[in-house]
Amino acid sequence: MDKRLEKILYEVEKPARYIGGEPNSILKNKADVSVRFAFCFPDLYEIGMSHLGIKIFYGAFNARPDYWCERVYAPWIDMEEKMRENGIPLYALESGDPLTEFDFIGFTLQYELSYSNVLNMLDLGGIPLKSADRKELFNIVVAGGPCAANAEPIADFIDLFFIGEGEEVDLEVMDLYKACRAEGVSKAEFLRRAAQIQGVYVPSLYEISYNADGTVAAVTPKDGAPAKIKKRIMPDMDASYYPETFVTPLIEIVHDRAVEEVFRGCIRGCRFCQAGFMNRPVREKSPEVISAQCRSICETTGYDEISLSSLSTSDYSKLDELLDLLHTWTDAEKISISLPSLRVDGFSAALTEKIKSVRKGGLTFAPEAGTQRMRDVINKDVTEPQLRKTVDIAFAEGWNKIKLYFMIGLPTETYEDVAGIAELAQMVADEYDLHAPQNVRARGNVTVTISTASFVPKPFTPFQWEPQDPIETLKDKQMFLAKNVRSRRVRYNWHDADTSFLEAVFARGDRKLGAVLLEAQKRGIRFDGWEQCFSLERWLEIFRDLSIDPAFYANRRRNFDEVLPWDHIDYGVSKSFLRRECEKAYRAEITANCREQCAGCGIIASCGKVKGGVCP
Amino acid sequence: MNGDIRLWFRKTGPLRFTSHLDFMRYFGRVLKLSKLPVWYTQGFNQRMYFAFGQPLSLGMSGRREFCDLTLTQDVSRGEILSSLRKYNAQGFEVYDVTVPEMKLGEVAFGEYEALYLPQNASPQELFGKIRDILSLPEYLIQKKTKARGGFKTLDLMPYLATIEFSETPEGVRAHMILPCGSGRENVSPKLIFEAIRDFSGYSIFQQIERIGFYDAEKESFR
Ligand code: SF4
Repeated sequence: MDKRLEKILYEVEKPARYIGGEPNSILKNKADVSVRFAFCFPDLYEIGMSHLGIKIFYGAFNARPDYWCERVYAPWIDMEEKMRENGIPLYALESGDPLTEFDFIGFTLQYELSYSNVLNMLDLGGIPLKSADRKELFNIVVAGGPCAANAEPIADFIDLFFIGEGEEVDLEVMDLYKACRAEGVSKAEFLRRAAQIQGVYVPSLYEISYNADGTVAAVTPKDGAPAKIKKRIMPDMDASYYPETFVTPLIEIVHDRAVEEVFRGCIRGCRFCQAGFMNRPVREKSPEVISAQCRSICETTGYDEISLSSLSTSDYSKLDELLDLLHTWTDAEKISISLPSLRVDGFSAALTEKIKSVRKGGLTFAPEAGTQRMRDVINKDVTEPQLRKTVDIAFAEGWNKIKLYFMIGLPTETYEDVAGIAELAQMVADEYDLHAPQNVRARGNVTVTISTASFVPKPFTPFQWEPQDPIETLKDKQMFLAKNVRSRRVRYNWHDADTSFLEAVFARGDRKLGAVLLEAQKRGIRFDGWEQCFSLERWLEIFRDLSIDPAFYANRRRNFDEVLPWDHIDYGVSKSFLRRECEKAYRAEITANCREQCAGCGIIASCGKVKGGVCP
Repeated sequence: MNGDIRLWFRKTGPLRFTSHLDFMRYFGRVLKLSKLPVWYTQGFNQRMYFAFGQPLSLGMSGRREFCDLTLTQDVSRGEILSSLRKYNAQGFEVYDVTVPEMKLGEVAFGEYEALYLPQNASPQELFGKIRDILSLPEYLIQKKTKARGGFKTLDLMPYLATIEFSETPEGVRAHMILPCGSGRENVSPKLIFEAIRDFSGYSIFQQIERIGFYDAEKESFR
């Protein structure tokens, strides 16, 4: 280990974040490797190590003997300060080598608030920030993940984006790179060729022109780049790569357990949910494959908890069969099974026997909205009677703490809808008095916790044209809701509206915002997802200084005919379907889930037949 | 081997930057994955029983650390060692297993090797300062006591006097045997380091390794 690094490790909080060497991490001999990939997660070690995507890619890339994928996380501010002071560039945990030694520097973009960390990590690694300033066919900066859906704000800094699921396309691009290096072609030529691969978006090959009012006039491809960039999917999840083991951290992280992805996509079409539209169609793994994958991970990590992950695991069509199959070996190994979230209608006494759904005490449900009208608008098929029934079961099973998640600022929302949130929570509390068994009530009173997040309109959802409520309105609604909570058994927590505003700006931003991100990095902004670091005021200063109006992005209603900055990206769900869904939302009309009836979203025309799906 | 056994291991490299608590969690996983028939504590909260000699402080390597546990079935020495090699963090290695000859509570001294690297002075200058300390009649420090917020005065000189210091091209090497273990006066090498640093006024970077244990008679702990 570098002496300079060793020295500063004594001076920072949790030095184990920065040392690597964890069991199952992969070391290779540099001489035997032809392509080196630095997989960067733009947040703290404890967050990034909990993320499933990075585990999949780490395994898939390293399965290739001549490719070596290493991990890089954002150092916390104390470490960054010491690194800068001592001239230590950002390095990868496996080899300790700085980013400048890697062929690829890849970021996963999970949330908009991590953009400042992406730039700061490049800077800390000694990599020129702008793609145009990196001339060599080396240090290629790539990115994928949900935020690649509208990559425009960060497009100036990234050489190419992966659109959709990356298991195959990432490797194809690495193969192409290897061939291009051998051939001795330029970076520009490599990018031109890469753009021909389905699922690759090279932003420098698209020219954006703007109208006088600041909206996009046209996106024009050049050098033979496709007009539409189609996403990639894995059509058969059983055959899709899944890691045999996980790197197991030496310190506590957010989710330290085996995670098994049981399916991709979601049969529900909640209109606010980007993942629900972008990850279509549904593709389930079979119970046998899931069980075998879980077993491999448990046997190589020592984990004693398996989390069955997906967008809505209680919708897995063979959940009972799967749980029974898992229990044939997990019981003897003292391994418990958990589901990350429960649907209001997916909760039963039988299910709770087979899973360890959080500790007794806390159960979380997400009705998302307080009134039936509002839930119909967002197509969240939860009804009050269902919730009533579910909490009755939960009380009977001994729970007395219920957490309810909602959004405020949803399209068409009125103050009546906001008040409905308090009423629904009150209903749950009252239900406890009416129906909880005597022996449960004897143990203590019920607590219902309301948690609200502010709605952020996202690309590729039916609400992509909608304005976000201004911050003042959101805050007013929070206060109004707080006033409407009258019982001491109901508590109310809310997420800061300031961060939601910035998220909304970048979620639907265009390339003009690149200048804002660049300036933010210069002014030392990073870790916007962390309360200790986030300051909307500092961002607003930059917007003022650069004469860019953030409300143009966050709070403006788009016309259905407007060219959206992400219109050249194609997730397979048609724009006309999204528009239809939006218009239905205005009429508070629901759309049946995909298992009941196909709504014709367009994905099948685009992706073709898949295994383990529901599409006709 | 069956019944009580003592595992001997090294904890070096990056692994030394994990805290004792994190290291225990890691060690628990190593044992679990070894599938060795380790005895579990009985009662409501059953867990694998294992006990370390003395925790290593953050940043300190250990070259001859030990951990006691109990096997419920006979396993050969070779099998024990190979089964503990399945799941390893960089810098961790179980290199021997023995039948305990001394009880865990008999640990009375720890042996350490430290390298003091002065950042703003030469090794000679630091060595000179150490000689100056050693010529003092006593060296009193305030040492934290177990009671919260409590301090007491301790003369470090008897301990300093037993340390072998030698100058190297990089810095000053110190070889020390200091009392440790439960129910005794503990003198951690950190106190020695701080004394030298504070007395010299230099900024010093320390690399330190624990290399062994002794009982009260200074017999090598077995
Ligand atoms: S094609 Fe039909 S069933 Fe398939 S995802 Fe789209 S709406 Fe759902």
